[in-house]
Amino acid sequence: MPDTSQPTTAPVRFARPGAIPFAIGVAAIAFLISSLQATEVSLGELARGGPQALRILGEMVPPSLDRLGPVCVSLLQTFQMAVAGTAIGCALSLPLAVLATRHLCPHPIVYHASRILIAVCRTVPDLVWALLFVAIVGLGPFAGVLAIVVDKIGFCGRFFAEAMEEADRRPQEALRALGATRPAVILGAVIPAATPGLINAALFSLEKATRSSVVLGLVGAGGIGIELQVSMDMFRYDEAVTIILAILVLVVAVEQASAWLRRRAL
Amino acid sequence: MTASPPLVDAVGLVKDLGGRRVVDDVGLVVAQGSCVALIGPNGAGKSTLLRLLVRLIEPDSGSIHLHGHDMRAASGAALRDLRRRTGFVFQQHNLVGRASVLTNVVHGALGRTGWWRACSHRLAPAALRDEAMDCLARVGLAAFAERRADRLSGGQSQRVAIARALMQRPGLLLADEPAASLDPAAGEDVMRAFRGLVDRDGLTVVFTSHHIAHARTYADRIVGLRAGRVAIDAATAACDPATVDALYA
Repeated sequence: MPDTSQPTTAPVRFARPGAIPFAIGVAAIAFLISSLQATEVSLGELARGGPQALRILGEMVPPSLDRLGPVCVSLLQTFQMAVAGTAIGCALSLPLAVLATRHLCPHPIVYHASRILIAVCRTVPDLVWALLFVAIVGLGPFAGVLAIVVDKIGFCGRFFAEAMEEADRRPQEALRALGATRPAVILGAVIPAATPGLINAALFSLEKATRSSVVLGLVGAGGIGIELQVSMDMFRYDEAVTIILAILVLVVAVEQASAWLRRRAL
Repeated sequence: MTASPPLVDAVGLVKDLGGRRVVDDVGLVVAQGSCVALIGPNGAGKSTLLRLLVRLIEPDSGSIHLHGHDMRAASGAALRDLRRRTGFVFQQHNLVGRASVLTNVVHGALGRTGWWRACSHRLAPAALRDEAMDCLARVGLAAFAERRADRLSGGQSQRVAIARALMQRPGLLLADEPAASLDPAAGEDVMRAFRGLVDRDGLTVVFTSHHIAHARTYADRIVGLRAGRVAIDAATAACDPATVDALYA
């Protein structure tokens, strides 16, 4: 016998929205339109810039190798900033992440304070940190390293803590059961279990730091960014393209090396 | 001549979990050098009772004395020392999967030595490494010292967990369904290893099991739990099969 309680027609494709969702939708669309107008987004302007773009592209070819030596030195300094900043940032992130892991932290106040510190480091963009540190320690790569360190504390602190939260709790219970102290449980069971997540976050943060260390130079925090800015300001597009290609090689090399290390380590 | 005090003396233990009374006024006394099986259907409170004994779960009421010391009054270093003297073998073995077998066994010394010395076999002093190899040899796995723990079979993994417990130099060994995740042959091996520790080394063992045959073969005494209460407490030889069957009815 057929079940008469079952519906026989398909449900409507789109339900009529309620008044509040409808109003929110209209407001969102209106804000999008006003944003496009306020920021002067214009396909016409873009099309009018076409000849200028072609002229710049023409001046980029062939790339100038006149300053290849200083560019390579600056590129090395950029990578060194990324490596130093990431290493110090990761080292500082590890204990902070322990305190920001609910079941490992000795006190709720310390847990929340650690979470807030990580959130502040993560929320403020690295360029802003760089401006701040240039003001504090002056122009140069040290300001860039400090900016990367703070940025890494925000990035790695969060992902290290997540890796520790997700680490298998059963070995931790086993070590507690045999009389291990909290540091022993962390070193003996938490860190080994979280290692894939820690390595992943550290390598990804090195890739991110390499890209951001290029930009930090634009505000005077050392590295190749300042070289790029000077070339652009002097309309030396043939030099600029050399620098851009050098940056591309560095970023791709770091990404490839990072992917290889990740495959080896995990 | 006076008899040695019981290694486990728990009285009136009560524990509610998730709004349900899981352990209800349970008492357990275990004499030194004996092997006790805790049996009962799922949810009877066997695993909870073992965890209560070492305070991995805090009891709501009741008293616990382990090795003659008040477990509930102990805290900090005293609590860790009582836990160090009580080996705990888990149903899922609870090894650190990414660490080597030897490191897992060296972890057994974490309760009695500095954490920096026993977190990894690479940092451990020679004496600890030698002792860990001895413990592995006692469970027949010395040849597997360098293998990663997550590359072991279930039976091997459980024997490494036993070696880690032996590394604690315990007087008492608690085992939560040690054969549950193993095939029958590996389960028998593990149970024989426990019995050997009682007969050869004078350890006291309390294990939980769903295998009545294991309880009958390897335990001196059977304690049956049902709905969180003790329903049977008798010497194995005196334990009536019908009474045991009724526990699962």
